[in-house]
Amino acid sequence: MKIKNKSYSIPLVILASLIALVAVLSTVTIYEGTTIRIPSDRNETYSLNMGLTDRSGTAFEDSDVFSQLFASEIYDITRMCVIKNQMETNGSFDADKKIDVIAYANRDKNTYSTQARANVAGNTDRDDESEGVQYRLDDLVKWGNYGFDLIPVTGTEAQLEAYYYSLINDVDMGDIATEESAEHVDAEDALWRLSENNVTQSSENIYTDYILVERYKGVDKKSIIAHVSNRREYKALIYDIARSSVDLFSNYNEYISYGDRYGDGKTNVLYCYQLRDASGKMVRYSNLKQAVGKMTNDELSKEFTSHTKYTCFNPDRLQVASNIDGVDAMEMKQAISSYEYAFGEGSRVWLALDENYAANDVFYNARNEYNKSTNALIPACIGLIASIVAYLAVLIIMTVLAGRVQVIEENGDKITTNRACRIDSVPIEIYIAVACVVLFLVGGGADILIEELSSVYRDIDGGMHVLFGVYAVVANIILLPIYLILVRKIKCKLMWNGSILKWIVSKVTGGVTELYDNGQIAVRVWLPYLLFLAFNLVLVLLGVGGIIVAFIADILIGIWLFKDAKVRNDIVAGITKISEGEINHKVDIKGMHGDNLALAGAVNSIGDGISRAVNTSMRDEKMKADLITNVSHDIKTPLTSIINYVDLLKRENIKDEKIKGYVDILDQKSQRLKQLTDDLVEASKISSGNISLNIERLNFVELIHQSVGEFSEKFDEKGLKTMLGLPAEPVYIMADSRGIYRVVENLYNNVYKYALEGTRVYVDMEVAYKDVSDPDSKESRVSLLVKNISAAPLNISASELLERFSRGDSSRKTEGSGLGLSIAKNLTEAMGGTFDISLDGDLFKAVIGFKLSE
Amino acid sequence: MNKILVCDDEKEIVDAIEIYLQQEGYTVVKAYDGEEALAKLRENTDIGLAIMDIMMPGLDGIHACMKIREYSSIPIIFLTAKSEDSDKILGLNIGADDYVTKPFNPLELVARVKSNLRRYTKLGSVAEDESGMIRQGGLIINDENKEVSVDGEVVKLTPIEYNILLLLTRNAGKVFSIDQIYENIWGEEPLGADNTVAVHVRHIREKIEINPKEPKYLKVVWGVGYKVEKQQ
Repeated sequence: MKIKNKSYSIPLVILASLIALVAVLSTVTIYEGTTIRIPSDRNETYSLNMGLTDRSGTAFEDSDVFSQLFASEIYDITRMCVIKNQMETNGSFDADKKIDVIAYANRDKNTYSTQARANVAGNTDRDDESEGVQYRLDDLVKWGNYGFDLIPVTGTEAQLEAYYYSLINDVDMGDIATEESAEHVDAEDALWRLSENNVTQSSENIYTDYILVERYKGVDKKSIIAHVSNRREYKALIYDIARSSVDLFSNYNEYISYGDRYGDGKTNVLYCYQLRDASGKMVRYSNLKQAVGKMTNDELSKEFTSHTKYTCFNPDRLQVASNIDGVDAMEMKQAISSYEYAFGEGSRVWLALDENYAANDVFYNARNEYNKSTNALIPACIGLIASIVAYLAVLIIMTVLAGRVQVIEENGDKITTNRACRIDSVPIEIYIAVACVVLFLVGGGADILIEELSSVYRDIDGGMHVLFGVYAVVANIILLPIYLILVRKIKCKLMWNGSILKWIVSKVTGGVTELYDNGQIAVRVWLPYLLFLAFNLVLVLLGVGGIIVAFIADILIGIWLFKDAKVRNDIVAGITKISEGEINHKVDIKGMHGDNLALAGAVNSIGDGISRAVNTSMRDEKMKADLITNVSHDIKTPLTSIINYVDLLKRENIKDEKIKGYVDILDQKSQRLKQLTDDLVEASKISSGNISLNIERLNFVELIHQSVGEFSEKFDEKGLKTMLGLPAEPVYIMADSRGIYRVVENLYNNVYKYALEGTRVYVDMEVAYKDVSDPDSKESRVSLLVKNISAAPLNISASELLERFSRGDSSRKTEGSGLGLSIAKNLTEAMGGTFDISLDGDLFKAVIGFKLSE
Repeated sequence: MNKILVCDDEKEIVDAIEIYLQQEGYTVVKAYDGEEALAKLRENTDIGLAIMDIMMPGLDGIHACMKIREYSSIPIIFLTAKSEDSDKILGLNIGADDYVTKPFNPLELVARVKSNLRRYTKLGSVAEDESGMIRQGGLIINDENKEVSVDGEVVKLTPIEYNILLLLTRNAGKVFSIDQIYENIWGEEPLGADNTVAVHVRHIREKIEINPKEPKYLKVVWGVGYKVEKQQ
């Protein structure tokens, strides 16, 4: 099976990025092409949308940009003229101008204004030429700048009425209301305090009114109280004074600034406003070179309409003569709507553009920008649409191709299948998290870029294309691979498998299942725990006392838990002891209760059970050994007679060779029977552990010398030559001296019985010392190796050879019980040694291993 | 003193033993249980030695032996199928002089009978040791004339065997390793390992012991060396 895994991902991602680059560049171009940014003389930049048709050879004056600009200028100029109307007399600022504060303060509320004036006039009982309450313009402006000194007066409604009554009528009525010392507050704040909507009520039915300290007197030098007859009028009047001062002060500031904008040669807008001033006279405000005062309305209209772009407006009839797009009657009405009071009967507005662009103003700049801008809108739009289509196409191709591999089977069949990459095994949540972070960053970056693009205060000018281009490519190169990973995950169904959510769900499900399966335990563990938590929570919520009770209860619970754990620890210790073989160990169940008592009881009965089982099996083994011993005793008695009488027979001088032969056989077999019973008893004793061993320190080398000495004649008899390979120095082991001799004796007997006559017998001893530097190395050991050549072929396995009653020659022709090796092995192991035999052809090898004694 | 009591519940064994002992010139008094043995002993005050089975109906060998020891010090040889060490120790502790396990070698039994009788009759009356006599139980070495006797019977030893036995007997109870024996006898450093000493010791045992596999005097301490057991 061959996998053809040609990945198109990287070129496709690059392609998509490039297409995105085109799209973004087109978008930027379209944006740039539909917006004109105009530097103005006030360190600002206008950003104006251009109409779609603006670029088709339209002159600047006919463009949307121009219309927007002009319309906004109308608003500013209108306001300027209205303010001029308030500030000027005969075309120049008039500080002495008399301002009727009631009329001025209520200038945009005509009805109320008239009413208020009537009230004041009527109650003051004066002839009604009434110029109202007049102040000098400069006094009001200064007052507005300085602020007001207010004397708070506190009292009930009635007290205040009485107070003002005594004040206005100069009657001493004693201390009716409480006067306090004057406070200085700025104009805006004073206005807020004096406003009728703001009744200061310190407590129930106790109000605070204010007396205005008259920093400036009116034109008639009279005090305010001279103009009013009661508290309400006084309050209304001082409010109007404050209102007028505040408005005039701010209008004055504005008035001053107009010089910069609409002074001579500062604007290309020509205007003439014919307004009614406070005294009802018609006054014209204009920047025409001509003396507009002497011109008639028609002459002015003629003059203005002679310019290429103009607007003439007659508010009386809502008539507009305009050749500017969007500047119509409604627009003009809107522009003057805030200043209705100034545009009384007979007022007129004339506006026009100075097509010579003599002034270096926004129109001049806008015209330059407009003429400079190129028209790439149509190609940019086409580019944008095409690139979006192309981008979607590439995206679809990428989605289809993602993860697709072609597998070529051995038989040549091609199979197209989906295959995940290594990075796809990362849980989906991580990619989603990465994608979210990236999207957040990408979105944030886009925001910054778009804001920069549309900002009128743009720092970078020509570089927007580069910035957006780089941004589009980078964003795509980061996001598209993540998208492809997600697609591959979906295709290979890795979305759910391998997701963190799945892991969590499986854990939760597992936990719930576990809880369900172990319902009883869950209830037993969780219920008290939750009760404990709830108990603590409730007590803690009860406050300090509860916390103390909870604390004491928790300590008691802690002590109880500790005791419980201690008991459990005792039980575990008991289990450990029993498992280590101390089967008679008992867990002390005194003071235990509940689960622990049951557990301890169970452990004890397990111990009893094991103990019983061990005792039983030991008793059985012992009974077996005893049985064998007893049976052997019973055998020995008749056997003694047989041997003795056979011996007596032999002593008879038997002449008949045949009978002699029979007697010999009887002799041999009775001897063998004797040997067998002895071996049988010994073997059963060793295997039942029914022997007492006296383990002591022995010199293994000495023992071998002694044993070889014992056997020298027997070996000589068979022509066996002993080859000793023993260390010169003593080798000490821990063993039972008679036991270890018995083992060696059995081995030698084995050699004597089964070794091929005339061969050599090798007896070697090897000592493997522990590597002191290596703590992991095994302990020092000594091995005794006895090797001989078997006389009969050893067609038998070593383990079979070790089995009881198994001998090298399966025909069992020679003497011996066959128990020798088995006895030797069991005895060696009983003394803590190892006993192994191995057969290699006719080579018989026995290895006895012992731990070296220090 | 040639009268020997043989007591065993197995008649054939008693008869066989009688044949062997008669061949050696002894007279045998037969008994088949403990009570009978005690009765026979009282009847025949001239019985010099008793061979007794342990497991017998009625009064067993152990109790019979204890009863005999109440009034007599004649040698008693247990002849029993019980071959355990513990049985042997018990038997010897309650006053038996020797212990032979069934099935027994007739020659060995006869040798033990002879040896025990000799010790009982002759050595018991022997005067104080002369100078130059080294004695451990029945083993006597006369260093004057380099003569070794066991239970009064002279044993022929080679000079090396004699020297080894002399060394071990003089230091009875002390265990000598092969190297120590070598150094003492040959007077030189042992050159390499060999089993000369072991072979000599075995030869000595074969000469002085009735049963060399279960020596009474010269014992093998496996893995340590050889010693002559200190006798009471």
